Amino acid sequence: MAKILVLIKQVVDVAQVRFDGGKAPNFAQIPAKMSDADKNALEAAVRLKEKAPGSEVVVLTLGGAKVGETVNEALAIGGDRAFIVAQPHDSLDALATSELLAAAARKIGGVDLVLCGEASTDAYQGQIGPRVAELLQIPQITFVKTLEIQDKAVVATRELGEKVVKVKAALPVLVALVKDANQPRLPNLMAIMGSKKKPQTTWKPVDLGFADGSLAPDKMAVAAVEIRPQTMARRMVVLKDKPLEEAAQVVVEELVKKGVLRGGH
Amino acid sequence: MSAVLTFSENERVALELLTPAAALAAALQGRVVAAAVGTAPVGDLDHHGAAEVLHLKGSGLESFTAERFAEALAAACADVKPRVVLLGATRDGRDLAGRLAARLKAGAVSEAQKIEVLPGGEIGAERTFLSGNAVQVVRSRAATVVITVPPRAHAAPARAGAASPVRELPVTPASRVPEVVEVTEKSKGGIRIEDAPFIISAGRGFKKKEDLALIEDLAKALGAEVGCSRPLATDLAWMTEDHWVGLSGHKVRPKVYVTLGISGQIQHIAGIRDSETIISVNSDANAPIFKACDIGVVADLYKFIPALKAVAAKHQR
Repeated sequence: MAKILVLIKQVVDVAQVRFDGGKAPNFAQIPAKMSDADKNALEAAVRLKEKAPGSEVVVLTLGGAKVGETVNEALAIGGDRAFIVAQPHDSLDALATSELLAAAARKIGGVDLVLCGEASTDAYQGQIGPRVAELLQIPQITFVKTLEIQDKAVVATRELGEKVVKVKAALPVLVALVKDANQPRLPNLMAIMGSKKKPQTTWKPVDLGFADGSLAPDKMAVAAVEIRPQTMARRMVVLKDKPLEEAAQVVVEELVKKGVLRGGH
Repeated sequence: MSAVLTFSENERVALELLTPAAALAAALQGRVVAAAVGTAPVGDLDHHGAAEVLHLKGSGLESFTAERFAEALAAACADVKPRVVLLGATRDGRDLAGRLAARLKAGAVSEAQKIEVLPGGEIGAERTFLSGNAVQVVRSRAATVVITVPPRAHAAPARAGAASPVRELPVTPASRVPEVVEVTEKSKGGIRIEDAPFIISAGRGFKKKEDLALIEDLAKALGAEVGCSRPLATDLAWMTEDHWVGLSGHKVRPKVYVTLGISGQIQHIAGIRDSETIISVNSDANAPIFKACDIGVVADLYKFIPALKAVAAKHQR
């Protein structure tokens, strides 16, 4: 039995972002979704609970007006209850975000295991997991593909590219999962209906001990001042309906020009 | 508070960081302090222009752990009082950056591509955002900001004749850390795709694993390394992960990057953005890769590969 806290973030659906005329879109109008790796973290939590009945999966998020959609989805996937920290504005930096989440985690209390995604789909900074672990003074296990709880400890495998490292840490501990660590379930209608009865609690920063104004936009340590489209200064010469030899000739000439084609044998 | 403190657990990245650090320190009229952590000697760190090398020593620092290295570096920050802390944007560096920034109550910027001191004294940085769709411009006027810098984004400064003074700082980290139970090295082709000057990558356009022999054969004939897109390295596991090119795989910066049967998901594009020339072959004329390449060929890769090999062979004679 374990009390598992899952940190989830609602992000814009990155695939639907369009920069018309080089101008940043109105992000509020873009459909939102649960950040990919966070969904893997939630699925991992639900699977741990299925193996250890009596465990509890608590969802914690910080968000704005639309965050309820993502919270409902998380409860339908298998969260038992949710806590929402109402964000005072949408330009909170990672410092403020992690301090709010850590304060909420402390207020929820009795957490054995904190799960989150390794980084969010939109910002992809990977700061929140390590920051929250440090604030809660617990060890962190990041880039995790699989995990299990054995005798009050987490045993997890870390996917580190050229190697896989199995590590163990006594609870409480924070585990950050990689995207695609598992295949998150699609909740069925029963689960969706059932999720509506699950408790949701919303806290304002002041409920967590943050004074009014202490999180104002001009107090942020890092301010995002602009989002602009990634410029693609490529030639985009596309050869279509050309004889294959002719197209191959163009490619080979480029390889020769760049000096990468291996010489004669 | 105008010093710039650098650290990477990766020896090569530790030297690379000294290049942006020197530029920032000059703009801040401050000095560069390069930190080394642990019992190992400081290596070549004291021969690349840092004003000082700070060697953090203490028990519990024998191997990297984000928990304890963050404690050690926090002690270094208390000593040096840096305006900017530069860390490598490696996996360990990312783990360390969040942990250290939380400890310092500081802002942090992950994977900054451009870092500068703005006229008002703020630190400005740019980073990839929205899976590679966008650039986010950030500013920090906090007392200290932690910034991670991608490996290979800068060349290390030339080796200096004069050695920087090395000062030891004892630290006593006490954080609880996970215990390593087992390390399994993955089988790999012995390649470092991120260093290759010429890469040919395979995507879902290949219908089955056996067909990858075509690209391996082509790459061998042309003198290229073989890369692949995410699904081939993960879901399908047709290639080992050291071949995986993309935002969460390896970011590459070759002279020429050739894609065969890769549609061009934004995460893949984000991993190849720094390539000098991109050449793409795909059977679908509407594939997004054609908006991200220099030369595109709309063709069936199964027919194009033999044609390319034949034409190349004539030039190689």
